[in-house]
Amino acid sequence: MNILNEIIYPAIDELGEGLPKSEDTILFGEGALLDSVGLVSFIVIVERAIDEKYEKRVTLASEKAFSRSQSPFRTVSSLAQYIEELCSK
Amino acid sequence: MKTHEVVLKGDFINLRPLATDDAEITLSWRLSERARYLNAGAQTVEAQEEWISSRPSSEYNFIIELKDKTPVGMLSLVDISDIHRRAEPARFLIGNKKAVCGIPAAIEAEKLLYEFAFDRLKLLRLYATVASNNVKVITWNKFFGMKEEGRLRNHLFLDGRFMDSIFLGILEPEYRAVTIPKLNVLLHSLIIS
Repeated sequence: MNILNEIIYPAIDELGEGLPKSEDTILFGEGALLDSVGLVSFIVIVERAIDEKYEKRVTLASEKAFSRSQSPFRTVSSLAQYIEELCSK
Repeated sequence: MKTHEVVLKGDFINLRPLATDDAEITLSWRLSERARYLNAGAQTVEAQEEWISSRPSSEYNFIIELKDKTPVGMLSLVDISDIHRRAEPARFLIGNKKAVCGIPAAIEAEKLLYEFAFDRLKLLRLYATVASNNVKVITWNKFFGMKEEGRLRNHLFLDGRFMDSIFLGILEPEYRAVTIPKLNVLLHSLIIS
């Protein structure tokens, strides 16, 4: 399972907001390039990609995101880790 | 001159009444590329002032402003019916995207407007009509619980051509079951970065 290359980087391409394809890219919070409308679009694209690629229906904006000590939406890296956890269950 | 007196306060932004003093900035937003899917409106500051001052009592028109009072967008609740207990969130536009990158301004604006509609005005239904190629706004509304209820063919004339409009709606129980948890989870998970 290569979350970055199979899910997140293609989602960045589809979003079309010019986000760098790097693990360090800040998705949301201080220094981010996305506003919250862009973030929601990105979440929807990623959820659909997970469904199509791994045949798993996940909801990223769920209680699981709520209960973490660090936001899964902060960087590409933290989102990839969060997706991996969701998909491995 | 303010269009009403309601102020809705959040953690990141406030929704304050649209006023005639906002004519220049709101016109610049409305004439920008980001507003191309909204209905055409005023083309001059004077016409925008006149439009603002003529808002009917069946509407609440808000400016989305950061806590430091920087205006960043606009949002309205229109076609409010006490009889049918429904209304339409409309004219949702983030005009100053740079100022809200990394700040959940639009999410909190949505939360405040929905709370106002369902909890204070005691409405039972909100609906939206969105240009069919305005994918971002359709995605946004569905993400927060609106359901697609139909397609109005050639309903809008935008960008020099007729296009379909997607009709979306959400009922009060759906707001409580879907929208509130999603808004809260998202706002919280964005705060803990």
